Amino acid sequence: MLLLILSSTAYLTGMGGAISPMERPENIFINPASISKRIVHITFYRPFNIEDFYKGDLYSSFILKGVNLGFGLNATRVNRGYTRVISAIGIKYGIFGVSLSQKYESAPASKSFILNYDWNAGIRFSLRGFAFALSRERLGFGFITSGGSLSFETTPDFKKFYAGVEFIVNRVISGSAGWMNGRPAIGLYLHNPRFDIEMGFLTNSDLGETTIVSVGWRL
Amino acid sequence: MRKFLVLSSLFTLLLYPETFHSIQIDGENDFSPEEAVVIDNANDSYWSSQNELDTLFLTWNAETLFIGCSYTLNNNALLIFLDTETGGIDNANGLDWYPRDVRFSGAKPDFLVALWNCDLSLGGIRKLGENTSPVSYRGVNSGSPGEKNFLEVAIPFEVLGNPQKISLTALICGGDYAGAGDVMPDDPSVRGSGSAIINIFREITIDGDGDGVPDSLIAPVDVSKTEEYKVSFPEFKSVYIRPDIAQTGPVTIHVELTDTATLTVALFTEEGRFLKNVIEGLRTDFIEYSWDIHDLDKGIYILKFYTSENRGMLKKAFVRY
Repeated sequence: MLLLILSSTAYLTGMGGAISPMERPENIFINPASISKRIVHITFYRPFNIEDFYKGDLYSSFILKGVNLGFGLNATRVNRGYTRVISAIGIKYGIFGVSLSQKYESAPASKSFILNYDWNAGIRFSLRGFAFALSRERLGFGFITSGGSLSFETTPDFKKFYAGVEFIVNRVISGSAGWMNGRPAIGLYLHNPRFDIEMGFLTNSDLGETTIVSVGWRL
Repeated sequence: MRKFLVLSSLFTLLLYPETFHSIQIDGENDFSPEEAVVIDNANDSYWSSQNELDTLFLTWNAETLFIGCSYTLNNNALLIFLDTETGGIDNANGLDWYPRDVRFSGAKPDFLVALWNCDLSLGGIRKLGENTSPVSYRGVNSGSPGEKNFLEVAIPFEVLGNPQKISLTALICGGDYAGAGDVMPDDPSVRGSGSAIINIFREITIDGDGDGVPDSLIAPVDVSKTEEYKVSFPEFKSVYIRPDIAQTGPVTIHVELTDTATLTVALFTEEGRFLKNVIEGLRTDFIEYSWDIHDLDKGIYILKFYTSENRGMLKKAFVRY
């Protein structure tokens, strides 16, 4: 289990965003068949250090009687008035997974909110270190070893491409580099048996850098 | 005694040439060491010894300014910018002749001596402004690409507006809109790639007594000094979007600058992908722009505000819901 956590890619913290082949809790939005085992992740960042622009994520997945269950929350707050919260619940059994999400938006001018529902379903299977994942959102492929991992991912229309490589230095430190939304990203991870800290840097030649901090607990 | 004084004066003049000194424009370097107003560090070019500035010479007689430059160049451009204190430019990237990614702070050049790959027939001298205009001059370049070259030009003071002082900087640049690989006097903003903001110039006082006539019996190096100006460019005074969360228009983009600049406002997606310029290259110090958002899909956007005169930028988020 530790190996799986260490070798999984980090969605927002520098691994290039290629996560659907990996067992990460963030996958609840991308491929529910790839939600990971028992972990909680909290992430916070300000995109490109823009004033009054905040993003945060909370992901959790756990196992109940052999079934993986997941919960995800993705919140955005902009200009002290607009709020967007996407929440999702998911279930994975064997190689199949489904999730249901809802989007809540509120804007001050209209004093109203919008509520949208969406669903996702996917499969993930692995063989001798290779992992394949297919869902409504992504098509992914990964190769995982004890020394690190390689992962590639694309959208069904092939318009977006994500790639990442992770190096596991030891049980405490790992690093990653990737390609996400056409931009390079790097990440640094510190682990102990129950706790992870991830720091990622996304670079954008037009808008500057985004620093992302994520913390995780193993349940 | 009188004979001794005359002879010693002649001897001094031979050893220490002073203005007025007329230079033969023939490709031979007959400037004296006292006319070498900038001596560049050897091997300090970012683009190898094939593109290296060496020495900048300057002297004058009553009617004409003479500039000489020794250098090595290979498939690049040599540019010598002159500021004669009568207006000028602060961004060479906007020129219609030899545009280069070089900006200026402190001095604003108003004349440019330029050549491409050691060939003066591909360049010349022009007065700078919104449109450049050729000026009368005499000039010769001797040498071949990749070897030691010597350029010398003679420009009538009348063409230059009879300046009291002249500030100079010489650069080796790439092709159109490219940056610089070497500069003299040395300026740390030249790094071999990207934009350069030149704020270090060599200033030579030509008419120190202000009588409208260039000074005689002067060694140019004695009236030369390096001036380092503070880098200052127009900055954003106030920027806002009203409303910054909108369902329909109109949306007002307000920008106020401390001075006139070339403003661009670029639109990006939430993830940082460039979409289009909402305002592009507008010369202004104040604008309240009415932005039509009907063609925008619902979502979060980022607006980036920047001027071509300044590397700084300002970013704001906008939401269409």
